[in-house]
Amino acid sequence: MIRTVELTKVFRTEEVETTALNKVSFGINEGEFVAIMGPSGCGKSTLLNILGLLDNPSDGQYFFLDHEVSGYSEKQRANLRKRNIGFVFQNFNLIDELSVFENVELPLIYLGYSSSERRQRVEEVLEQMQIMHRKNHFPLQLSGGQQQRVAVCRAVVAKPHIILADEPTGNLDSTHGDEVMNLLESLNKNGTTIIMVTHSQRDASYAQRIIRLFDGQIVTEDKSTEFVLTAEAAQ
Amino acid sequence: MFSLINFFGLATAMAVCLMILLFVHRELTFDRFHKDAHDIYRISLHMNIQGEMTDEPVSSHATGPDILQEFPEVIEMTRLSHWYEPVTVWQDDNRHMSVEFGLYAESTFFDIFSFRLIRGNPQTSLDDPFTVVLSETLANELFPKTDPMGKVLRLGNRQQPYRVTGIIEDCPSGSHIRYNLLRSYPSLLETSGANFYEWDANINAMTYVKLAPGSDVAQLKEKTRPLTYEKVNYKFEGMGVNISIGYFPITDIRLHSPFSIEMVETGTISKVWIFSAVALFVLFIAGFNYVNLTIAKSGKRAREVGLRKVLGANKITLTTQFYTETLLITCISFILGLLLVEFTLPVFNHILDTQLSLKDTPWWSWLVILFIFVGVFGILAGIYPAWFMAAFQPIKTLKGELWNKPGKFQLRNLLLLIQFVVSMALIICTLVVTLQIRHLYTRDLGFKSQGLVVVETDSYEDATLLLHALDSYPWVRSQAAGSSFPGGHVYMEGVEIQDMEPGIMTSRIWLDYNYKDALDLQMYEGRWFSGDGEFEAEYVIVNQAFVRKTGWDDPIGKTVGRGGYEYQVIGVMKDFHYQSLHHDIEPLMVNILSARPNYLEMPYWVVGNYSDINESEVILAIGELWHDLFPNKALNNHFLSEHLESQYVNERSFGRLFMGFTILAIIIAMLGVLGLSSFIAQQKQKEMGIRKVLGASLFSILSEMAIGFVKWVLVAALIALPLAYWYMEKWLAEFAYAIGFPTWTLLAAFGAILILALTIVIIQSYRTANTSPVESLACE
Repeated sequence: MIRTVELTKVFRTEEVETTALNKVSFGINEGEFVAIMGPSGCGKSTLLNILGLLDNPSDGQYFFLDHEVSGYSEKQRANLRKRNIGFVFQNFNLIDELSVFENVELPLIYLGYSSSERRQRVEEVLEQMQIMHRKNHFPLQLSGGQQQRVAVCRAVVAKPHIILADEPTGNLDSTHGDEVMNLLESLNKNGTTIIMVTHSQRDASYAQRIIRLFDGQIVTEDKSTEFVLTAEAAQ
Repeated sequence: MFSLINFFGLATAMAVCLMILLFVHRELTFDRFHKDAHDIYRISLHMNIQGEMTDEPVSSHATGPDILQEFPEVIEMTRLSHWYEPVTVWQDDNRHMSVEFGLYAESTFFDIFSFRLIRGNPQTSLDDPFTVVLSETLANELFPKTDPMGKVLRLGNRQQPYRVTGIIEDCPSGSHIRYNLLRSYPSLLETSGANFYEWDANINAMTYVKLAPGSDVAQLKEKTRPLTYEKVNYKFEGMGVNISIGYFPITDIRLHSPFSIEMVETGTISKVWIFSAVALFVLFIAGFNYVNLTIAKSGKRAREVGLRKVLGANKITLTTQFYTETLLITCISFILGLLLVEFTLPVFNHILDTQLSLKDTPWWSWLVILFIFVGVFGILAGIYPAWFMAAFQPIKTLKGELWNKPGKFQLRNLLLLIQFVVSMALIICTLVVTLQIRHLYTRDLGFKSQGLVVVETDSYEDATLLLHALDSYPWVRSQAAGSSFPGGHVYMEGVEIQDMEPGIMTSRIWLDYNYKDALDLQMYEGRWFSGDGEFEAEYVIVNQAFVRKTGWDDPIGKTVGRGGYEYQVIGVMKDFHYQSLHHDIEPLMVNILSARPNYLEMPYWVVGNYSDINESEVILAIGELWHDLFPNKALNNHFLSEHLESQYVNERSFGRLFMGFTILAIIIAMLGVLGLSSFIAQQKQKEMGIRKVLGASLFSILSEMAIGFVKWVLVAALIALPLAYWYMEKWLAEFAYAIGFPTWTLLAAFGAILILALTIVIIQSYRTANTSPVESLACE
């Protein structure tokens, strides 16, 4: 489903050149739950941005659903992204001025769903995530756990193939954190591929496989039963 | 970029306010420079003819002296006359020039007013006949290298010699009296057949009196009543005519004059109020835009504030820091504003026909201005951003969480709304005023107004000579002469009407036989004169308005009496606009020109109807012809169409003023849009990032931003359009001949503001909307 070949990302300012990702190669199969771990500054978020089609790599190849997308324009990426990827962020990234319902509805608007279809889908997913009773509330009126649940609703409402989660429990206490992780796990069990960046070993334990990054390179891949991919093998 | 807009916005606003301040100051201090300004009054004449009131700022030459003699509280009196027509000044070598405001004045002029005589004796310089006092500029122009005192000038078409007995300072611009030269009053007595003894004759002197301090004007007016009866009203007993004398304070003339004739166009107090309101509004909006832009920019400084706080700065030190910055910006803007004023004052002066200058401003007013602009403005505009920034919480700002609170911007939106309303309303006003002025220019006036040249002569003989001479030019299609011309000066006279008491007031002109055809005047019934012969003197032709006024069913054959003569009506002309379109067409009677009493200094106007030749050739040919016919007389000619246009200079300057305000309002409103949209774009950066992650296109994000503004433009339209419609309907109603309200202007104003606002919002939001979502979200 996802395959990267020597993925490299270099950030340049006038004086400094920082290599955030250095020839990273790996693959993720459909239905997998993969955690990406590593210390601060190791390139986790950069990798997630590229995997999420929010950013392009400086070098290397990125195959997303069999398309080589590393050279895609923002418009092409946006098109692919909105149909296939759902995002869950550490700080929820809900729009404060919109109600729960409207926040969850957003991806469907951009996919051109009719308003009756949207209503049906949104209510379905809110029901499923047990947050229906809050649908007219605004994000700031909700607890952190509830906000993240809304964010997950938004991520799954368009039935994407993949959910990318960036530290989804980072702003939550352990009870709410577990709640969110259980949600992700159950989504995974229903067939959604999940890629999650995390600092937390506890959260990582929900994943089937852990990719560890250090200084922009993959150092180990744990728990992997089906694939052990290195740069060489990919070639 | 931000700072540039900020400086530019503030400096423009301050420049505008400064100019308005200069203007308002001038208007409010008009005529107040005279030492005893509050004790000086102008005698006015109020005529009640069968319930119809006429107010005139002039009186007869006899009224002033009689009042001075009769009432002890009147301690000084002076008269001015003949301000309304230019005088020709001849120099030794037969060069000549036309000088405006060559008044007749008395020596007491210098006792009452504080105009300064630079050379000569104020007590005596205007005592003798044929003496003249020149303004400094005119004196320098006429006698560039010699001493003018005692020199002789020839004045008027009769080239009467006058001796220079004084030089007076140039007329200050803040005076309702204008002069370039003063001829002594006794000269008027010598040269004109004017009546100096009766109160109802030659009513064309502006008479000023100075009252003893503390005099009761109302009482004086009451006391004048019996005198007025004794001098004039007894003549009209039983005729429904009554004349009363009023005393009008000269300090009120500029802004409160109810009179239709003044030496200088008057202003109105409402104009002063409107301007002051505009100044306040501009300053207020500039402050608001400044605050918006500063706060929008402050996001970039949030980390600085956070760090300073972590390092120990408290709210007071931070507020002081930011406030000082505002003061500095205000100061720089003020200086920029001053420079702007210096450069744009000539334009402003041109539009308002004023002579405002920064140099004339007294020193203390600079302190006030500085205090208002830098002090008050700085405090008001600086305090909110300073407080806003100083209140940033260090942890949040260091983390970059600045725009967390979803703001309710009711005040901001309200202010933006006001700016939209004002801009739209002004656009509509400008369009309507412009259309109305064009209507005035192009309206059918009831006579031929194009292709006519008008030449002034000073006697019937000269006029006849010129008419004959014009005959030989192939491009002259016809030529005629009259005592006036359309848009020229006409005299009102009371006439007796057959079967009607007490008669009516009517304009009266004398025209020759050819006039009707030269100007293409139309008859309604009856006939025109049958020639220029003597027996035509018994006849009169009136206009339709005259017939309406008299109520005659069958006007032909009726008689009109004036000055012991009876004239028989032989024809009724269709109404034509012999006065400007500000006036309804009023009664007019026409006598044959050859029968006009040949008073001294009463002009005869020759009108030439030309074709197949351009204007400069006409001027050239007339000039040559004139020089051949009258080598020693000054030529005064003009094109009728130009003269007619000049009747509407006030409307034109009103139009230009509106145009100026409109451009200004639009600039300010768009600065407001710029400020607010950048503020909102800044604030919505995170939201835009989220939307983009979720797949929103650039277009959908920009529309999202634009809708927020379009909403306010729509609300503004709901307020501005009816408001402007109402005001303009009212304005148009002041014209006797107005266009219908052009409804398309409503749509045009709405469209213009909508397009401008959308353009700015979209350009401003584009950068933010186009930022990669990774960056937008990283800001969080």
